[in-house]
Amino acid sequence: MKNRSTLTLAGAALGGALLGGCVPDFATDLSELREPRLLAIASDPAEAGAGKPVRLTALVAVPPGSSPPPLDWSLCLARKSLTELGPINPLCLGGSADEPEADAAGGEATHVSQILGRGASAEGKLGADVCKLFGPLRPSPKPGEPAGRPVDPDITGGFYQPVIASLGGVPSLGAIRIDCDPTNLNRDDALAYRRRYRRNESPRLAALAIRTGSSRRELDASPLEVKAGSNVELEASWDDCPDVSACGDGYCTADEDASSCPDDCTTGEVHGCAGAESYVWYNRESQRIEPRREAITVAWYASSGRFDSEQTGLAEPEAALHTSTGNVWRVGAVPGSATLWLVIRDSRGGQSWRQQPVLVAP
Amino acid sequence: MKFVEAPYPESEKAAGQQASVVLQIAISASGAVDQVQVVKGAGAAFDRAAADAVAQFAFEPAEIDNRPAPIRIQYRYDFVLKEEAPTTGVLSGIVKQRGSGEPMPGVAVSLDDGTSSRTDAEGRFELPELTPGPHTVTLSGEALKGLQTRETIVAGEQLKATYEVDLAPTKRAGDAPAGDDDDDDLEIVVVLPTLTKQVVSVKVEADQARRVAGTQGDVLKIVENMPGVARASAGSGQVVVWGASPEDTRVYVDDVRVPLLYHFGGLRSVVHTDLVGSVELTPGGYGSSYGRGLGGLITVALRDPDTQRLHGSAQVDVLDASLSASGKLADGWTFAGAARKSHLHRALSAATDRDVGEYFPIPHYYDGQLRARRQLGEKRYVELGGLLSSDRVSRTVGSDDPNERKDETKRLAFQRVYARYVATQADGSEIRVTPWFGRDRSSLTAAFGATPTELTVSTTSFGARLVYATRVTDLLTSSVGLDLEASSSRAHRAGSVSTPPREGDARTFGQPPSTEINSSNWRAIQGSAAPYVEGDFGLLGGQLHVVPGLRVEPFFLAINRRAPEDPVVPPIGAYTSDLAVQPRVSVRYAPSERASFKLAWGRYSQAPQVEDQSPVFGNPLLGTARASHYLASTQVNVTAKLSAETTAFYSRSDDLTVRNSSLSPLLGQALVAQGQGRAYGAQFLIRRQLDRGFFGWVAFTVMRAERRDNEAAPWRLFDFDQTHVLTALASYELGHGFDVGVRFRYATGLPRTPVVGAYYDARRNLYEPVLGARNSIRIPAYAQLDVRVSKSFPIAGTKAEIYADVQNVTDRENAEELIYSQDYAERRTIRGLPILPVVGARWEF
Repeated sequence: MKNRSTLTLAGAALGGALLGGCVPDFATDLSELREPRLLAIASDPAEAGAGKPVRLTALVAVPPGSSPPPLDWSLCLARKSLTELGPINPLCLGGSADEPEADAAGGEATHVSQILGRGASAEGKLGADVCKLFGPLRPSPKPGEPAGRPVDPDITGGFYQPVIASLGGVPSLGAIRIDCDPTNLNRDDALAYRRRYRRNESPRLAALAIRTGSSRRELDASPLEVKAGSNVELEASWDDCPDVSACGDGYCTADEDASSCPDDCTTGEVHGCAGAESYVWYNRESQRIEPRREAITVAWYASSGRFDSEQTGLAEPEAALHTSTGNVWRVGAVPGSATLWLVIRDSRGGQSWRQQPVLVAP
Repeated sequence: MKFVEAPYPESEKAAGQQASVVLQIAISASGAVDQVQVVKGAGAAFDRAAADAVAQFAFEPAEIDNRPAPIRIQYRYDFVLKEEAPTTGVLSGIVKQRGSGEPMPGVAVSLDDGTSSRTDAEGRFELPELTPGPHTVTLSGEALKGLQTRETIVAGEQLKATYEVDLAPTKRAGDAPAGDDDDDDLEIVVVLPTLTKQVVSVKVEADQARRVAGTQGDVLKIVENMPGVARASAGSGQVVVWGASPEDTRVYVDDVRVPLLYHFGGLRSVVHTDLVGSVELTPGGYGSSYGRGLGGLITVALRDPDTQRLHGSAQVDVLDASLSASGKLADGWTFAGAARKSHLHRALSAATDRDVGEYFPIPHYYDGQLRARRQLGEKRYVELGGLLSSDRVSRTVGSDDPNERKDETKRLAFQRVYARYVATQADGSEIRVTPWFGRDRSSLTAAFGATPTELTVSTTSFGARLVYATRVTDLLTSSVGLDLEASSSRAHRAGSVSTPPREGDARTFGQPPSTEINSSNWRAIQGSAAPYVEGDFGLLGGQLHVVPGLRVEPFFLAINRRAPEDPVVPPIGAYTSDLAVQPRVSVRYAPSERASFKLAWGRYSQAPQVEDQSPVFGNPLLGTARASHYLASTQVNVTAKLSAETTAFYSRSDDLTVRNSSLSPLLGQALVAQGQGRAYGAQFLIRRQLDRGFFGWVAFTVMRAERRDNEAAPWRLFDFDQTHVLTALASYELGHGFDVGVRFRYATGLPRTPVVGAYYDARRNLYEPVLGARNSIRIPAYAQLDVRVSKSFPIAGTKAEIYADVQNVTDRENAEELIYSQDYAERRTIRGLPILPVVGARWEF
């Protein structure tokens, strides 16, 4: 079975068949859950502006017979330096959140993180300066110095407030997408961006189906019955999102607002598509606002057996053409109760999940 | 009084005796000496000489009562030895064969005044008591026609000369039989004493280098086996010497700078073997004629084009196929050229396991060289030439998971054209002018999932080297020159801010790149014009050489954009300049033929890399980095062919470019010039020169190379640090066309940063490593034994050779990299190449 692999350039190969066996094969299969594990962190809304409240929830997969450890939440408030190649300042992952930590360059001390509480979910509020701390605005300057370098956007043009969810003391990193307008745009582009950009809507699994030959049966909340040791072909699908804005399609998309399309854009509430959404982003290379389509991935987990692929999905161009992805579940040999978990993610940080009970028959 | 000087008795003079003789002299009324009597003698010789001289004295007559009268006086005659001004000089030296260095016994060395001597078994001669002034020196012998040069003899001094005689090329297939007139094309080369020789360097002739196991017959791969060179990761092709980054070591092919020595993957060099005459590596402390690099210096000397007839070769093996040719075009015109193209990808396409292909990309390359030389006189020529090289390596990994799909393509192409004028005077002085023009284009395009990386740099460069080397006086040989280089680059970078990775990055193999992206376009101009002077003072009869040098190098750096692009604010450029005064000095003392001692010190400067001058990803205002090198070396010539050399070194570098560690860096300062480096250690070389078909060496380096990101940061191991590197190689001609070579290499593994934990990134659904102390663990040590066997045989006046170069004959599982499981819970190693036979065939005509 092919595992997810972490690859990069290593060198040159010579000799063809003589090289078989150079690469170690790890038996690690992260799709198999044997103990409680945090699998996803979702924020509601999936994208929020500075100073806005958000609700955080986590998917903690608990195999049968296990009990979930406590879950502690905090918001990371420390920027990371350019020498930190990971996604977060390491200070946010450990140490006391209440102790101030000094800037690596010896500046004034700042709090590293804000404790939100314990539980399956937590309420938080984005800081008023979140776009300076983690967004495109230049951070407040130190006395006598000009303003510093802003954070760089991700591949979707977005920025994120890091969230830490510690399960039994083991930290995991989540992120709240923050709605910050890109900087360094001319006036026309800035106005066009604000008019056309729509905040992210988390994707949702519209259906989980089992495929047998050419037939397809959608699963509901009742347990899926399978035989031990069998191979089950599964298909996860999501909503089909429109390429272009159309008033009346039920989605408040680019160039639509409450006045131009009240059917889709209720005042104070904006609905996006729970699939591979179309959105606009500012391309720094071309210096233009360009349309894009989200990519969708589905991560597969099981308390028994293994999946052929730990994660499947569609890249951006593919997601415009298809709305489903499949996998094969190699059912475990031990009969009894089992659980499947699927986490669907879009490329703008939105995620949700579905849990499917299973009955493994002998 | 008339005084007559007594001749100094020879016997007493020879004995160094001085004396005084007291005499009684009877003087007549006319003032003539009537009688001489020794009153107090100093020996028969002194007494007789004094008495004979005094007897010839004549005096003014003495007067008594105003009338001349005879008198008697006592007179003391002093015999004092005086230092005589020298009136003759001495010419001594050695005559040896150029290339092999074999002494030439029985060669008659004659002067125009008829004085002559003959070289002994070790090629040495001496001509004492020569009349001062210019002389024509003629060398002649059985294998030589009369070869002449000019020397100037100075009274009271001994001129030591080394004559290297360039005999006819080694007989090759198609050559005329011995005795033909074509064989007698000889040349005498007067070697200016030591000026062109670096203090610590290893030079290997091409014919030897080709036979070394593990090189697949590629001469320039011998550099990997030289002391001071770290063992490169499999397939990297990087040259790391004495703790310097690969880009800090400069590579020159006959005075023309080229961007790299090896094609991607390190499988082949960029210059065809048949065109290479020799390669010299100076790991540090090189003289003032070169610069712009903090690390070492690699100089490749091309072989002179064949002046006899057309020679060439065709070669094919599993890596590539190549052709070369060299010969006479017309009267006074000669040429040399070569071309090579890889086909490894085709050879492996049928046999390569796809999984391996994803980890080890297969390089595609080609290169070519062409030169035409016009001989203007016996020792003057002009040459036009060009080099080109192209490399491409690609890798694609597919996956059902779009986040796991990977794509990477790297390219590098360069072209050079040059002209050269060389004139060697009768007194050995040389003028050398080499202007050149070049274009480089490099690109990296990659995608890790949806995270892109792009880096493209196109550079147009101009350079020129002008050198005049001459003997100023008998004590002083000097070289003055001008080293010019200017480049204009256009660069584009986009994608992840963390890739491509930098030395010193806290990361682990396979770690996904940061998803933070940006984009930048910039243009940069760099230039420097370095006049330099170097003098070689030969003192103590040539035993002591003091070589001071000075290189004054103004750098100018211009960039078209000092801040990130802004659609509203027009770009503002920046210009910086720096003056690098780089003194260098070396001292060589050879109290005897058997031992020599060397010391060297020098300051070096290097301009920033164009890739680092981005206003977004780098810093447009980076200045020059600096380094100081300190060397001490001893060499003992155990025999004429066996030598042992020990070198201790220390280097310190400052203003190195590193990532900005501030939590709030300023715009345009993603990189800062705050890094420091140091390297220290010793290297040992025991070398057996080619003799009776056998040559080899054992090179061992023990060293430590460290870096720190700023003055306040702790020192950490340099990413390419290797504590121990041992290379032992030997090659032997078995006879009947058989050659066998063996090479053993051992190297400490490269440092790596351990993973001490991991955390789950729920946004990207992957694990991120928690890293421990930087570079605090190592990849396991590397050891490999390679064997080469070749057999050559004549075919219808040509020569064919088949060879097998088997790398890793013991099939040892060497670790090349540390790799982790997805959740970083488990660590293993990526194994390098197993036993690998590279078989090939070569045909020479």
